[in-house]
Amino acid sequence: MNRRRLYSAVFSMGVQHSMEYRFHFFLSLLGAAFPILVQYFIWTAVYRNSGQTALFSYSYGQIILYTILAGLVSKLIATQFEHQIADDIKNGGLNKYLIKPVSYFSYRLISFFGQKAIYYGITALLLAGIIWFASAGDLLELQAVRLILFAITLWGALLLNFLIAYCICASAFYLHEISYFFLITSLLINILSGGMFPLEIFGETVVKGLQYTPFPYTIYFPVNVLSGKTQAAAMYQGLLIQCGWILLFLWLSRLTWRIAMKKYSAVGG
Amino acid sequence: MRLYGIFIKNCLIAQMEFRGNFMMSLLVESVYLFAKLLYVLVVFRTDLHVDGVPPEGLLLFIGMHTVATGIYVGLFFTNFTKIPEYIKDGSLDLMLTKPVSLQFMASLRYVDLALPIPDILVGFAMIGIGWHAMDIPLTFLQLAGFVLLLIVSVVITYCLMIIPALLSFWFVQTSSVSEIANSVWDANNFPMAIYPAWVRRIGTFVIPLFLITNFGPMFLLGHLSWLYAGLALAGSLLLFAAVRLLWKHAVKGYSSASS
Amino acid sequence: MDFIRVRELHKSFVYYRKEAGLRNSLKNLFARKSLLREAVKSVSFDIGPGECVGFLGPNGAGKTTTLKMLSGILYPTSGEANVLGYVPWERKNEFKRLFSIVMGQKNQLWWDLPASESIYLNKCIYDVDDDLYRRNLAELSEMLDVQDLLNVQVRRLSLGERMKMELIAALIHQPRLLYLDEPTIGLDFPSQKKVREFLKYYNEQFGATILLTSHYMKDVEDLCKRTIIINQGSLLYDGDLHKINDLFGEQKIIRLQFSEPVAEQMLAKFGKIVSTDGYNAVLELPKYRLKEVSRVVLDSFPIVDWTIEDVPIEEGISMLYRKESAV
Repeated sequence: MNRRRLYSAVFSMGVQHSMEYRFHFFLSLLGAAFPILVQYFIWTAVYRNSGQTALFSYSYGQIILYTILAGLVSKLIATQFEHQIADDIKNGGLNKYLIKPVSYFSYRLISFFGQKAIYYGITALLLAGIIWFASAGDLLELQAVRLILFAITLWGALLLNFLIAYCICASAFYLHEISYFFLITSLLINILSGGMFPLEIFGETVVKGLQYTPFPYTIYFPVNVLSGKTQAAAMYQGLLIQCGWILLFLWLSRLTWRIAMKKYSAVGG
Repeated sequence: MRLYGIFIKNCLIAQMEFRGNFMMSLLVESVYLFAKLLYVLVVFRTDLHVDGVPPEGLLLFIGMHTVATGIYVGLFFTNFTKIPEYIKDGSLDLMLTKPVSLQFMASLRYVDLALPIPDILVGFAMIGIGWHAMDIPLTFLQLAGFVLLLIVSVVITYCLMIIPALLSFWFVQTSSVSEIANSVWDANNFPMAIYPAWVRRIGTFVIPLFLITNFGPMFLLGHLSWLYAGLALAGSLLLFAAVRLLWKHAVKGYSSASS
Repeated sequence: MDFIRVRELHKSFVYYRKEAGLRNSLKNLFARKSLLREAVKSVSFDIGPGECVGFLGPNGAGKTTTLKMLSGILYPTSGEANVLGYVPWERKNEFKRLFSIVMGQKNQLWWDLPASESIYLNKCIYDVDDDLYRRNLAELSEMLDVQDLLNVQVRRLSLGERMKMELIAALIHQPRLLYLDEPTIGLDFPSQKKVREFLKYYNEQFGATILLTSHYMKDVEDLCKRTIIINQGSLLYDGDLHKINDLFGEQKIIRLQFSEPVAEQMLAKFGKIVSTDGYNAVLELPKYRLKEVSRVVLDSFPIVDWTIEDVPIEEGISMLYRKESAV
């Protein structure tokens, strides 16, 4: 099928892009480790100092596990295409795609997956190692159900994060200076998703409030599904909510882009 | 040094051109600051004592880190991200033909006035609160020592953070090295006492990262003698000389972009 | 003593080749093949004070690389050069104060600021004293007719106006030597002309030595008495541009116009046919045959009009290139 050939070509171009700079490639793996390490030391100091077994409802082991997993997951789902898209919009690169029989959305999605394919593989290996290590050290009670659900929610998280970022990109049609905006939103989303700290440090009410936003379903939720903090019932409920958010954002991204495109074509780029 | 004055003036005019950008920079740095303040939240909510220093004392460290970050993003960050660009698009060529130190031109050309504002304000506020809460006397000697160590930290910041940019003389894409450097930078947020001894030793003697934000507060808390402060000063000057040599070496091998 | 003295200058670059395809990407990740490209091959020439010399050559011929070595931006692989008594790549500040380089594709002016700010910055960089600075600025901006534009942000200027500002910024310290790398690239014809006139005037008025590279024959033709042509890194020609055709013996061009169609094969015996469409024909032939051929052609064909011309310079240059690549 023609379509499939096209997309596999786009995918492999993405993979190649990420391989082109070998030095960069190995270092970016290392780069993911540092913040996790720093947080590990901070939490170690915190728990040693307080003498309590659980802080913010996390035990020492759980919080370390959370930190590592959240760090990995947030690296995994991180999108880096905002600037490319904004560039396409600003400099007319989008026209290239408008005149070709390809949907820009699928092109971006596939090439994004391609660019991260290697990264995914390695992260998966790391995750497997960590999960094995944690369960061997009795930090994690390995349950097949949770593992499967984690794998599913992780894919959901990927897609959801892509969609959120894609929606935000539409703002490049309207805003003049966009790079700052992306910095702010990506950092804020990371914090609100629980990428830096477990959401509990903000207090009960904030956690409750955030449950009504899509953000926890990208990092906080998948990690807690795996670590066993989420109750069985809440797990399935959360999965459903995540699906709901994905559908909503799918629709939203179509909508925002359709509106924005209309304006774009009207001015002629 | 009159030249540096003109750099600053030019940057100021250019930034005033785009008020929207100015506000955006403020906002960006505020969000980053907000992320840092999460650590403060954790410290106070868990009543963290490090090495017998209570949360208020830790504010000195976090505050110092914030101030150093402000200085870094204001004076150096923009330049250091531009150096790889200069090399890639060949703008370095034109700078090379100027009768002014190339390192000065390339690494201090731009000054960002919006980015550091929130950091410096909040950072000094935190130091002030910590200073007051810890009952540290406000004497000339204390202040002088602190300022000296602040200067040391600026010099070290320059030397350490320029290294990723220098690597771009040899490698095309170095953004991930800078990324690592920036994430290591945040390791400074806390007193180094939370790290195991070997990390502390590396961070003090091999890559003197911890000097940047630890020595100032430690001096105020009486954990650091003048001797060490002097050694830190000497060390920073030595480091500067080393970076200068590295720069010279890098430029020597520079092969400008085609076209 | 010569102003610029270049001997056996040589520069080669190391580069990597990547073949298409994912598998090659993976291969590249671990082992890369390095290749050597020789950008400049033992080039030698001398330039005296006040000369205006043009560098011609196709893309990638090594023009810019040579210029970069002479301004100290690049180290040569081997060979020597002496510019105004200095070795350029030692990058002495005293040397840097003596020359200036303008690159058509790069700008030194700050985009968001008025040009006057960037020019003032250059004044400080080059330590020009206040009086001289004011005098130079007034004079240059008057010559280029841009007094009113000095205080406009550079991004609001047209390409031509921006180039003029670049020139002012480059000349504010009165350099004795000016390197120009494609100064008219992308400009429209009136701007090109204006820039050329200015450079010519500047060269004559101040006795500044000018070294210029360009793709536009006209730049070199108008400005430079002397031309250096390089291709694939080697020097092919050094001398008067108009005498370039002497290299190939004396060739002439005959243009013929007929009242009724003349078949191509009937013309072939007279010389090389450059073009023909039946009613018009252009022939190229050696000078010594001119008389004989003209007589025969005029007698045997229905001629309406005819002219004899020199071979155009462009033609001569491309012949030069061809000759080189055939070797």
